[in-house]
Amino acid sequence: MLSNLNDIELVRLFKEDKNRDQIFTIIVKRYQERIYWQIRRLVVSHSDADDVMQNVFIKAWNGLDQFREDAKLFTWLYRIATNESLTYLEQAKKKSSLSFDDMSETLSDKLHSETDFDEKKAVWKLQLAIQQLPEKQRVVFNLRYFEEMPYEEMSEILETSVGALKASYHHAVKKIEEYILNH
Amino acid sequence: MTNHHPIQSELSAISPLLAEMPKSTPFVAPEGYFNQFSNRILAKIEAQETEKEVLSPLLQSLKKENPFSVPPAYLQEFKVNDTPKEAKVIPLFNLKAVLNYAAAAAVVGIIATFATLLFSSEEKGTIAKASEETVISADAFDLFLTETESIEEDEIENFEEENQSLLVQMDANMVSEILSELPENEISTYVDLIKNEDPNTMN
Repeated sequence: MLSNLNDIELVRLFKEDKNRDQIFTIIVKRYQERIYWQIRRLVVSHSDADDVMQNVFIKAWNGLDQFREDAKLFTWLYRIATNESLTYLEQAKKKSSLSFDDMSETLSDKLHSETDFDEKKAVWKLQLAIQQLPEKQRVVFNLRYFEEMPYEEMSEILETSVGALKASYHHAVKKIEEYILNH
Repeated sequence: MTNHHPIQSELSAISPLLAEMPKSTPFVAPEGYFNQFSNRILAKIEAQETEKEVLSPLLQSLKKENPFSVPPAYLQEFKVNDTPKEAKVIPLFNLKAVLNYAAAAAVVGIIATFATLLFSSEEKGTIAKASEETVISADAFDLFLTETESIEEDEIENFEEENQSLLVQMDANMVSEILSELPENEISTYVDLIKNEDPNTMN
């Protein structure tokens, strides 16, 4: 059964042009939720997350032939997802000529428009705090805090040193704590 | 309560407040989103592939063929060079370049100095030439002014009279001597001229 195959075997079959649609469907179903939530925490709204999701998996389909098996498939997909999310936010900023502060305000507005939003609740307050962070710091925080990803794996995704990631996470946590205490 | 989870321990160390907060995302995905996503994405990919085939069937058929080949056993025998290549050292401050620039600047400076001197000496020459033509030095001019200021009107009149009397002192012998040298017709022409100007003269 194809769904029992590991990532390396799936990629090999894909490259051999055997049952591509079926194999790709297995890969999508295997990682779609984790990728979706990583994107959603960055872009906030579902419709934006859906756009980015589609871009990510179309890029994955187009790039899977050249994918080198020395890296993990999930790490590769996460890297595409992070880059696509940041690109999406950058394009949104350019389209509306927003500064960084304006962008975080826009993301906060999107949070406010979410169903069941209640800023008194800790989970929403945390999300508001996260949206105040610079984009890269937000990525690091989300991967470490929500995904509980090891720094070494994060370093492969973000192509940043472990030391820099640790420092970034430390600063992010401190800023979030300060926001929560003051609001 | 000791926390054995390293990520949780790390969080507790940085922010006990955040470590105590519930770790959940409040976002909600639409119902059935994940069930349908794979079908939606495949449909989109199929549309993309069809579009590529329509635009260029030739390119679509070629894309999976790799024309390149690797020499036999190349990958098995491939080795990283053990001797590290010495990195090229590029000095921040290149003395040679600075000396070259200094030499060039010196040559330009010398040429500019000569040009300035030459230009200024030509100018001086022109001024000197102009000065020669005009002759008078500043001291001489000052003296002239002083002298002319001290000359009184009486002296000017006396000078004029003296000069006139000089002419009157010419005697008749001298005049007849001069006239004898002149042709007669010229003398008569001159007399006629004088008469026309002032009839009282020569009478």
